[in-house]
Amino acid sequence: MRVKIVIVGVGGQGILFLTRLLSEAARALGHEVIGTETHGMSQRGGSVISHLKVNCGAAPLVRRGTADVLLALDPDEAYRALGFLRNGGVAFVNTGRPDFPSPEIAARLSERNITVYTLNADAVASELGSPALANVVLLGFASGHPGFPWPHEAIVGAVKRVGKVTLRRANERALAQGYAAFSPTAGLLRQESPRSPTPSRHPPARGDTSRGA
Amino acid sequence: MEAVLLGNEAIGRGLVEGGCQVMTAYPGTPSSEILPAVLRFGREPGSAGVYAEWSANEKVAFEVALAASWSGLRAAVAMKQVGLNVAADALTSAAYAGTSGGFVVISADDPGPHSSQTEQDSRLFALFAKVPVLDPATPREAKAMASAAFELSETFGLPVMLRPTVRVCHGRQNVPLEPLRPLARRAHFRREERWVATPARRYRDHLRLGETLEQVQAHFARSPWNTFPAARGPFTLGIIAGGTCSATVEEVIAEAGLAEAVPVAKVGTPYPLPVEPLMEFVGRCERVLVLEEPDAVIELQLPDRRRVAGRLDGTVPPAGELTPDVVFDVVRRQLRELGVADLPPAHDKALDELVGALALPPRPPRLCPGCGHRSAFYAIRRGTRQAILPGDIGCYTLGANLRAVDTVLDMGASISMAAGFYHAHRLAGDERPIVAAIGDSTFVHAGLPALANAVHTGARFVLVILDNRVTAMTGFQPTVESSQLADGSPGVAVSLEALVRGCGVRWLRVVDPYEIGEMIALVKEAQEYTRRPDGGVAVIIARRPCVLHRRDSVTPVPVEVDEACDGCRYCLVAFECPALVMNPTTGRVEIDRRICVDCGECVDACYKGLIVPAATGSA
Ligand code: SF4
Ligand code: SF4
Repeated sequence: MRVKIVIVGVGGQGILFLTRLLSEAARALGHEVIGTETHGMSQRGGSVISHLKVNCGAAPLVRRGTADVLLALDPDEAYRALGFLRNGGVAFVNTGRPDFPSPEIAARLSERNITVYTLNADAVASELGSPALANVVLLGFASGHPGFPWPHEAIVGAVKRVGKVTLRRANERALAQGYAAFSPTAGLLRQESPRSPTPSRHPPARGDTSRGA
Repeated sequence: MEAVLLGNEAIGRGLVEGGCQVMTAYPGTPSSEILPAVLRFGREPGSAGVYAEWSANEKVAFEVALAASWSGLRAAVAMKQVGLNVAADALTSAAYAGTSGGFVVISADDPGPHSSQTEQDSRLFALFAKVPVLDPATPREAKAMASAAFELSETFGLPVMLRPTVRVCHGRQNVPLEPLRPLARRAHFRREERWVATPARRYRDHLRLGETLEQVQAHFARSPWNTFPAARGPFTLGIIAGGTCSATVEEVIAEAGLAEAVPVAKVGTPYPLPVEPLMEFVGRCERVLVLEEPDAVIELQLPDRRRVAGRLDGTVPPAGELTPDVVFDVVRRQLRELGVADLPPAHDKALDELVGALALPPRPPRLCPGCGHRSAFYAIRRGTRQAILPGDIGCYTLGANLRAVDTVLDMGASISMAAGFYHAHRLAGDERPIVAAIGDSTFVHAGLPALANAVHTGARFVLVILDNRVTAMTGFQPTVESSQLADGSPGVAVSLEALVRGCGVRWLRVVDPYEIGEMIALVKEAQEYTRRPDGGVAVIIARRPCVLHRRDSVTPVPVEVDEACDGCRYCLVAFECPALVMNPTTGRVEIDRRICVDCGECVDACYKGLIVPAATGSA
């Protein structure tokens, strides 16, 4: 496993928590982790970005054009961070906007073999009764992708160990719900496929639940 | 044992493993997580036990910790880079006096800057103060250096600076955890001549300091924190990189497949610089590129820079963080100029342009939904006309978004500058209102001398102390008003009112800023006081707990926006609660229920009365 991942969103959306979960999951698998995150003033509702690299040496930041995965909790922040992705990279974006990404950008991403999956994680989290769980829902969603670098079980394990004990059950549920929401047709497809007519809506197809969360 | 730690946690761990017994700090991004980590690890079995305090400011913190060192204990003090300005007086003198127990000064730099008012380089400060510096590249190295810094300090009898940058402080990495072994030390202060700074003695101390630094330099030339490439060359391009830049440039070069062709010398001890081995390396290269943050310190100390390119000759941008993107661009240009390689550009220009064309609104930080500061600033704006509004450093700097903050300079400047604005304008007979705003922690940090000075000199202005009971921006550290200390043990609560009165202030009122109407009236009354013949500085303490810290302090008043809202945007501009959002489809303002905290404060923000308490049960 050799991964560069960038996680973006708005201060308060729980970017740091996702970073902790992913680094803990990687550590538990015996991998070398390095990354860096935004603290301080931007945590008051500003743009927040975390970089995380697994088995990539000692430099903490991801260079533009080299990330394997982008996790975005906000569509505008996703746009700003798309430049981090390498050719063939994958993005998972929390958005309810049916027009994300814009047709021009979708076309450019297709040329570079970049795939974008979208989920309205806010809506899923609200249905779970806690809008603050959108971050974990999106992570669950991403971990449903067979090519996501972290095995889903490793993330489930990290959710059981990281964060406030009182919130762990809720996090587990959010993760499972996001995981179940993934289907290979959620969101924008690769260049040769047509754009799905109804991009990722909740509730989506649940083809993958058999793998168990 | 191994754990993935935040860089600051790793530093805290390293200090405890190194036998730290006294730790002090004033919170400041990116340094704030070090002290809590020392407390946490200091409670583990094997630790000798640690006294740790959040001090009133960095100078106080420095001196409290230094006294522990002069008593023979290992002690550390942590701050952000601008905090070092505040502690500078103590630092420069301490280098002359030296230390007894190991003494580590941690000053965290913020190239970017991400959360600071300057991009200053603590290493330059160390050079100025003549204190050796260690510059870690990664959290793992930061932990090892924190621990080793105590040894270094005791070997040479000097304070040692550990200078992490934000990418180390807020980096995350697997870090090995060594077992803790307590040092069997007891504080014992012994009288020594060098502890008393008299000019005659200081001349000799200065001479000796110079000699000691030469020994440190020789020691650093063999230090494992530096790596000088073994290959003989000659090379067309070589690189000297300090701290995080070394890891960044190594990755850039490795990804370009040039690891053999372009050697990197890594410098972990930027001052005193191991000049000899570095100049020997320069001699093996046609050109050497120096990469360091945020300023030129290594480059500055190289005695012959004819083959050297860096910040000083403009090869490296003169300001800003050296992200891998910037490093890639700089290295790529050098490789092309020297004919070593022609790397393809990294950016997807087409994509960048498409995203640029979306004209995404920038997302600046804002006060939290329900923050009492917002209500206070709104009241200040409503209660004044044409006033000068000096501000200060903390969450409430964001009062600038409500146009309620005209100046922000440094900690405590709101009060001294309010006095300065008063005296300057009075010369022209202009007695316009002045309303300064400062937070409770910043007031104690640097506002007290300024207030006593303003009262004494007869300045006339209104001072609003935004008292949310914590140092909120940096993670809710307790202030002197708290009856709890850093480790949770009881402390003596110091009253803000008593401090204000003690500075000679005779007009003082306390208000809950959520009572916007009441606060507007007080702001007006205070201005009247400043104009009275017997008037002077009027102080309003706007007291309300930080809502992010104490959500339970809000009595819920759910609100809704009436259908008659015509989308005039007044509330968005004048009140700018992040939970008030324009719905472009309906053209009306809506409440973002995901982040609204039901404070009910925006009811005052619609002058048409269209934001109203929700009908029961419908929220
Ligand atoms: S953290 Fe507290 S003080 Fe700072 S903006 Fe939020 S509510 Fe206000
Ligand atoms: S009640 Fe109004 S002011 Fe308070 S958080 Fe909600 S929208 Fe913001």
